[in-house]
Amino acid sequence: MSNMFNDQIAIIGTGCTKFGENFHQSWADLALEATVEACRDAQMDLDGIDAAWLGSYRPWIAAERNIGSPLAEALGFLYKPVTLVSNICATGIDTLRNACFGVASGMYDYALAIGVEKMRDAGSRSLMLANRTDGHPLLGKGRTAPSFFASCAHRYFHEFGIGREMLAKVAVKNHHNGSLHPKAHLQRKITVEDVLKSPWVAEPLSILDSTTSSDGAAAAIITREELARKTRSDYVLIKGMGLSVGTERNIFDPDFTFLGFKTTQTAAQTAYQQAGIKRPLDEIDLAEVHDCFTITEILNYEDLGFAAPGQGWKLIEEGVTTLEGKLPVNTDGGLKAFGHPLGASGLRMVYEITQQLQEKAGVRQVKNARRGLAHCLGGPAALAGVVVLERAD
Amino acid sequence: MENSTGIVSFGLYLPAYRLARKVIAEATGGYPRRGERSVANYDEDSLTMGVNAALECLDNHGRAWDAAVDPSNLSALFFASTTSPFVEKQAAGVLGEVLEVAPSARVADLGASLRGAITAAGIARTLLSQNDDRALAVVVGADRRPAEPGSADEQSFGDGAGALLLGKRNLMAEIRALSAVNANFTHSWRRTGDPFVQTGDQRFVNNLGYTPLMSRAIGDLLSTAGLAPEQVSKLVAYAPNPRLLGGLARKLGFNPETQVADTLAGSIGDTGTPQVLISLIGVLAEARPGDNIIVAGYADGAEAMLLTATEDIGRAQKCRQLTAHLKRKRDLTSYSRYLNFRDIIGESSYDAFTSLPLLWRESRQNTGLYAVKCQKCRAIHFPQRRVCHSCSAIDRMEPFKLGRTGKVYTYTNDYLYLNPDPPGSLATVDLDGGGRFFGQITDTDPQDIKIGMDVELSFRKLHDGQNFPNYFWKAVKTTGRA
Repeated sequence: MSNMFNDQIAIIGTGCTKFGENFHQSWADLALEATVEACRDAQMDLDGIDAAWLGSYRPWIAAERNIGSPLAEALGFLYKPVTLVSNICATGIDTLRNACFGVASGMYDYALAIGVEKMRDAGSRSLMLANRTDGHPLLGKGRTAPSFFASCAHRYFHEFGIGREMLAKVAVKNHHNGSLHPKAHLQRKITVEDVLKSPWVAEPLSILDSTTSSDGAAAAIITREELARKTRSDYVLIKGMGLSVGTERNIFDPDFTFLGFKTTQTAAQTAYQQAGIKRPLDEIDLAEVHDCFTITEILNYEDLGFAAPGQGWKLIEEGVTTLEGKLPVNTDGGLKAFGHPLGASGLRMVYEITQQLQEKAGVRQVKNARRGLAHCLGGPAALAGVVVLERAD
Repeated sequence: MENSTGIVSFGLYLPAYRLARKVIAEATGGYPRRGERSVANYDEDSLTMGVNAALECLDNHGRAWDAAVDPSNLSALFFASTTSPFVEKQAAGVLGEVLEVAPSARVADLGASLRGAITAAGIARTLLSQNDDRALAVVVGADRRPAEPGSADEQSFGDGAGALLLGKRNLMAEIRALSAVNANFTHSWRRTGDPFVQTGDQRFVNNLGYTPLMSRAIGDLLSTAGLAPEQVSKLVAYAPNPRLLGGLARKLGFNPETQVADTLAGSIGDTGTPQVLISLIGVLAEARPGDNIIVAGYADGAEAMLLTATEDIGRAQKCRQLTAHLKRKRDLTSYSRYLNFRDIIGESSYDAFTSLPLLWRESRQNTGLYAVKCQKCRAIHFPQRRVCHSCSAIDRMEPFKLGRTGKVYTYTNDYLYLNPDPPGSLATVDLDGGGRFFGQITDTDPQDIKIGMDVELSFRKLHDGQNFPNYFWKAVKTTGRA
């Protein structure tokens, strides 16, 4: 595989709305707010954008069908190319990835990659319960995101002897980080006790082990590096991108352990190879990983090579991934506290890492952050995307 | 014995739940009767119970005769029930698909009369007499009868299913004679579309219907066979209540204490069509060679069958016993939960999606539990796929029948997914013989589920999306044999 994107594509502007129950905002309001902030950050007008990639799990909440038009409508971005990308929870990273191709090809100079999701116009459970009505009428009926990751947790407990307290510490860390970010959905610090006492979602995962159902949008403006230099010196380079799509039917695979995901492992392998990373724990300064549930963050540590198989929980126990640790993870609160509007999450991670690399993270600032990683996981670990970002100067 | 027909194997199915009659009485203000009744779970109907009884019948054949049944020998299949999930569409067709009955077999539903299982056995006997001695017939009786809340029927009814495998060799008991009395006598009825069974005045139906019609059918049978009542080891007779049967037995000259089989009215209830089959299975386990057993069904007349146990009757003890089913019980302590199971209150079903073309296309996989196995690398794939994910071979798959037993690899109890009886338990099961099942666990206390627990697959209704029942498999904690 070639490394054609190495040092070619730069992020020159990012934006992100506050995530949360934004009942006062429409899908279009969210899209516009994130875009305006990204444009301002890139010091350019929307007119300067040649093409847009829209990541949305279900843009039809704002339109009549799966179509790019809601973005054109919201931004007045008319009669220009808009490509709709929908790849469940990895949508945000896949949107950025596809925008990169457009710019790298030379056909477009400036592209907008934006993830927008309006979750709370429907009930908080509606998306999670989609497979109640959708999909195969028999196979996997009853499977929800929590039930899949809860099955992983039970098996992990069985294999490695940890319990709910260890998972709770993931939630405590991410809530702490979220409390330091004004745009995070959940601003409340919590304790291990709070997690253990909160109601079940799917045993052994409680509500406080789980992500939220949030509205939100996040955007990035990208260009080729030679153009980026004209805008700013602290632009951020895309050093590696991996996307790995497996099967949702892995749950039926007798060899599937529920202890780690080949999708994350292979996506990371691609991104690491492109970025020249061999020892991720030492060579990455901060990471945003897909913590849809507390157990998932621990499994991600192992799949991303931060820890050996079965050892991910030790990073939590030893505080390696706190804001002050060797490799801070989910410095903005992650999906757990910042929130999870499906199609926006990947670009929200890119937003936070860019803020950190540009030393704009305030009280959350990770010292000497030069290289960061974003990771999304979708379905029953059916697909994963990994991006490695690096400050240019 | 050469041209005789009889029972080769048997199976039964009782739902796990029992509801004490005093719980019903406390909720409805009725007079509490003794004992408890069986209650089908929310995901069970007469067809699912019938399928599970029929599968146990074939499994028991393996236990009793150390040989699996060759489905191509199944030349007839009858599903007798007054409560088929369908008024139009053959429930026996679904059963036939699970059992892999040949397309040329005689397959039919016998509805409307509670004596349908005995009628079916009689028809099966006639059909088998025209076939070679490898031919087999399956008779399934199943009911989940609807009773009006607060009615006496609600307390006395129970849910369940029984199945017999009839054939011409490897007999545990021979069918020696049959008798029938047809009568347009209305004891109980339910019009098309009626929600509940109705029953006539008790003294009228018992004294003018049950007792004389049953007396005549059993009396005719005894005289045809030239037997006196004392030569009969057990009388297995349908009875809406056991006292009525006691009176009938005395009138016919049987000793109610020793010669009358338990109808299970106290522990299970009046299960309707399958009652005589379930009761007979209890009798077969204790029968000795040469024992004469009368099985008598009732409704719209009466029908009786004389069985004589063969030298091989002892093989019945190798089968999964009635006692094992009675032990599997879970107490339903709440009347409202029972009403919820019956769809009388609460969220009735999921508004899920049904695709008849998809169900048809995948029926061998989803109903028949067929995976595929790669001929090149031997990897098992379920759900089926054409491209091997292990070795990338295309279209090199052969059918692979999955086992119905296995061990829990991991699990969860989910409180988010809408389930009529929360939490919804989900299990990943490594199946014995290879392949993995992922699906719901039912009939099992969520707190009892453990990694490594033995489970078996049970046929269930998954949902009624778009007004069509979608049947699939769920895992249940394994039931012992005894």
